[in-house]
Amino acid sequence: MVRILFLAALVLAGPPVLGWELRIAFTGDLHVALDGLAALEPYLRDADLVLDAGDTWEDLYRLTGLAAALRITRWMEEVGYDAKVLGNHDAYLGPALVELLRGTGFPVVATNVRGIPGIAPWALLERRGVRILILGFLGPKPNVYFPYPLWPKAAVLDPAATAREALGEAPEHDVLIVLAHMELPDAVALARAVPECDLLVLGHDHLFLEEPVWAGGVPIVEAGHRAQAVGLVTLGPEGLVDYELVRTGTTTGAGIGSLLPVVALALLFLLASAGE
Amino acid sequence: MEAVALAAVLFAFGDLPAAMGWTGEVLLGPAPHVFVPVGPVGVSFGGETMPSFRVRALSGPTHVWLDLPPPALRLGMGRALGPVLLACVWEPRGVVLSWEIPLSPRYSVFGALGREVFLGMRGRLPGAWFGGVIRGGELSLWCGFYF
Repeated sequence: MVRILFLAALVLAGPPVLGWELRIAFTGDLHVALDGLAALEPYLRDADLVLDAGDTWEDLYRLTGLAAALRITRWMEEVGYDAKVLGNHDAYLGPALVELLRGTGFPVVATNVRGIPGIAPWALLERRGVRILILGFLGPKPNVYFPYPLWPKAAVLDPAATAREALGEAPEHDVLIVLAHMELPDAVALARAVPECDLLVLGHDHLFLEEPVWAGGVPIVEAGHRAQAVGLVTLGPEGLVDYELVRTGTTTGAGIGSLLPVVALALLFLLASAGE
Repeated sequence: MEAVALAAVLFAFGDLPAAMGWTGEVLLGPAPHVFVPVGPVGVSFGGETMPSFRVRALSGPTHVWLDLPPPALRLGMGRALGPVLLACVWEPRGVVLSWEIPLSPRYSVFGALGREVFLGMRGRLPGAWFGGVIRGGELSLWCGFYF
């Protein structure tokens, strides 16, 4: 009888809490590489959380347009992206970016950017009962090539100071993920300023990080560019459990030769000027 | 009258942040100028034509706009090539290549080549700028406020 009562109590109490694991898939610097997206899909669809590290909507080499940006946005929504950070190439869209943001089905986070309507200071998501706070940062230095003249009312603030400020105001959370679009040394500095960060997903310098770069206790990961790789992370209560960079086999034609349209336009202008 | 013509030139070829960023602007200097965008149409006051209109055809990443009526008839096409703004502006008298290169988040040089030639430098704050333009060997000082 006692044994039956004990078993009944065990069943009613439910399974014991063994902790949780979050599977996160992320991309970065896609630069509207539409041809490579299909290879990413199986990895993204399996994940609890899908993130992107910025520079999604424009490719300077190919001078891509708004139609391509809209196509990749629809694909991201369909695959289930949960958030992305604003990249400098995204800002090259100018006012079209504001129109694009109005119709985007996931938050575009830029905690340290002011003056661009439609971007979010943070995103709070819940997966498997875990509350996840996502902050996003654009590098403030000239080497991030933010088009300041195209956004005359915008400001890019210091990431570390803005992070501390945002964390003071942000809702309660169990996990903190930072999406950063900046160079690796700046990301290391940011990670050291936010030691409670569980994961820093980096974009901008197109690094294929096979292993995480550790800044104090913060793992920094990056998945290359133009859909050539996807990053797979498992997070648990104690932090990083596993990280794998998967190469998709996609190749990119982007290179200096792709700047030919720009050079041709410049030559055309010079010829037109000379003709006058 | 020369100052009004200078304001018109600056608006037409030297104000890519307003033309491509599509933001309202009050321009103060030798001749004041105001640009008010409402949806895809902007109205400008202070140039040679009072008022003139700017119609936005493409809002990015390639920007196309049309200025009306004559003599302010112009067709502009621009793009941000990285942080550099570049635009080709056609008008019946010829073609002008306008450009703006940020040297830092706070400073940039800008100018025009082709039928119209000038060089300027501006210091920027979010929402405002101040700077000078050299055209025809003469320096003029300007400041602008974006809204």
